[in-house]
Amino acid sequence: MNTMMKNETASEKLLEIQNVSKSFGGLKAVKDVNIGVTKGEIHCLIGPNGAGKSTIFRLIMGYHHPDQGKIIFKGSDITAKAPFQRARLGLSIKFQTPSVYQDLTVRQNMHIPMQLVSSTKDIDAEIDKQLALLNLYDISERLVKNISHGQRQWLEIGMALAVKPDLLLLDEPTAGMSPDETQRTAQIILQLNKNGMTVLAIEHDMEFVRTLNPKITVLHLGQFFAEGTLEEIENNEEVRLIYLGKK
Amino acid sequence: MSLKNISSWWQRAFNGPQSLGRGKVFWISFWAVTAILYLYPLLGGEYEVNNLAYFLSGLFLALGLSLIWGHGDVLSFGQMAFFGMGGYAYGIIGINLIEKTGNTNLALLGGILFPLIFALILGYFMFYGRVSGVYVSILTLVTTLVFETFLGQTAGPQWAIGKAELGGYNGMTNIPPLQLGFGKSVVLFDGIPFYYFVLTTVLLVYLWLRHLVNSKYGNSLVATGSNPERTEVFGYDIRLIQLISFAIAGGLAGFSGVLYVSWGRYITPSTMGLTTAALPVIWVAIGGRKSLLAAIISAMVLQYFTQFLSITGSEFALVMLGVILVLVVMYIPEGIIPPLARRMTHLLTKKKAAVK
Repeated sequence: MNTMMKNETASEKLLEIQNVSKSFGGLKAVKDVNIGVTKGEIHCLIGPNGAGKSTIFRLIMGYHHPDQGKIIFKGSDITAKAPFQRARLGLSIKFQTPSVYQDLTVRQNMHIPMQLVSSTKDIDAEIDKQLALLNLYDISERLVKNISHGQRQWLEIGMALAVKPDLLLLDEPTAGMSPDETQRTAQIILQLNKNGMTVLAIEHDMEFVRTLNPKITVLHLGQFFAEGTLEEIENNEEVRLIYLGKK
Repeated sequence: MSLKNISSWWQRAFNGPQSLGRGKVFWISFWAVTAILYLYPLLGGEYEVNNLAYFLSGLFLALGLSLIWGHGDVLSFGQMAFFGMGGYAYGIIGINLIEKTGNTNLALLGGILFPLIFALILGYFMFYGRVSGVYVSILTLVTTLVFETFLGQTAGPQWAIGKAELGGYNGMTNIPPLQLGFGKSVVLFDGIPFYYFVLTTVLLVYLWLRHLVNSKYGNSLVATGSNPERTEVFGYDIRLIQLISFAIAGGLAGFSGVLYVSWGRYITPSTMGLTTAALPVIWVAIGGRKSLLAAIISAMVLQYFTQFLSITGSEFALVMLGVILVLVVMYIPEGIIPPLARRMTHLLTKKKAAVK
């Protein structure tokens, strides 16, 4: 096993996953994993199917509770907290398949997270601003079930951001997107990061990952496998063997 | 406050995404119908007024169900259990206290609070235990049937609370009518006063619920119903959101129960039987569960329809209701009234555009 852990002080860490394990029945989905997300970075989790990436996201959001280990967010232990309590601390997620309110309009969708942070007086202006930012302003009165898949993905990213989180989790943000939409999504994420947002993403599309140039953690069979910059990961023989294919 | 201020306050307080009718035409028709209902005792005979009061008193069941099911997407078969609890609680307190106090203030309060608190307890275990979907429906139906069975075996003098005998399947009788107020200013709500009491409370509760579903809380309730996982990770405590609406629905059902026993002076466990437990669900489903007003209209029409069928000697009232329910669920799952309302709005706006 190859480890390339950098020496970072714990105080810089926004999120720390410490020795976390999770089994489902006899299946060990996540085995003794340690991941640290530093404030201000873009961090990608990659790995072949079954590597445990999605399980880790579900552990972070609180849908699953770890059998062992701890999850620390902003210095406090959130391992036992309910999903809504974690969200209130500043965690927000965009699910893998767009999880929006199908029967509501784009505007009404945005209203739901927005009303948690905006006053009744300002909310309409805030929604307009957010929708314009995501290029969704022109379709704001459409029902969400009638907009395109890419638009739905952006809407959900916008909704996840509306609650002003400290850490944004993106579960395959470009799944099902055209190359064009993928590039625009990358630009949105880079812009967010420039404004100070910390992002933790699961992603399969290596072109997309290249554009983001993030810190990368490789998982394999539920275990930590390697960590480093894109260059370091791509030059790692063992990672190429398990994930990028033999050359 | 100028007229314009009042109008804009009204718009903000009672209109919103969860209500179909919002325009001028809607509100004018709404107040016109309300006025007719207030004038009805001058037009109809005593029997008709009593009959209408009886139907109106069941509306709180439908309104509560539209809140929890139509807006919160939690299908509860517990409305009739809370209805029965409200009726029995009112009866027990009323029978025991009426001679001492000369009013039924406490009985009314108990008839609402007892089912409300019970709904809070039951709801706490369901929603905080993360029970959802069809399991809530099953649990609430079982609760209703357990109450029916329990009260059914309470025949005999050993089953009495103070002066109130529960009476098993024969039910509890001699329940006093609503008498509210203190000392000499106690008002007896019987006949026409009862009609006005019910009509006014229906109006107030409708407006209050309409305000509630279009408020911040209402938005979060609809969001929770439509996508609980998504809503929770925005930071909403969905357990609490569902519990609140479940408890409100329970309290409203209890109030219906109070009015029912105050009107008929008796109650039997069959009010909590399998067929009656399904009635509010049928009313709300056929009219359109997502609209409070659709639930009201549907409940009124179907109650008249059922009565009409029973009076004309048909024993198939329930079968007919069942057939209508199946047809509606298959062909117009959102209910009959919302598509009609949309078509009317469409026609009206088209006319307006043509005039311009």
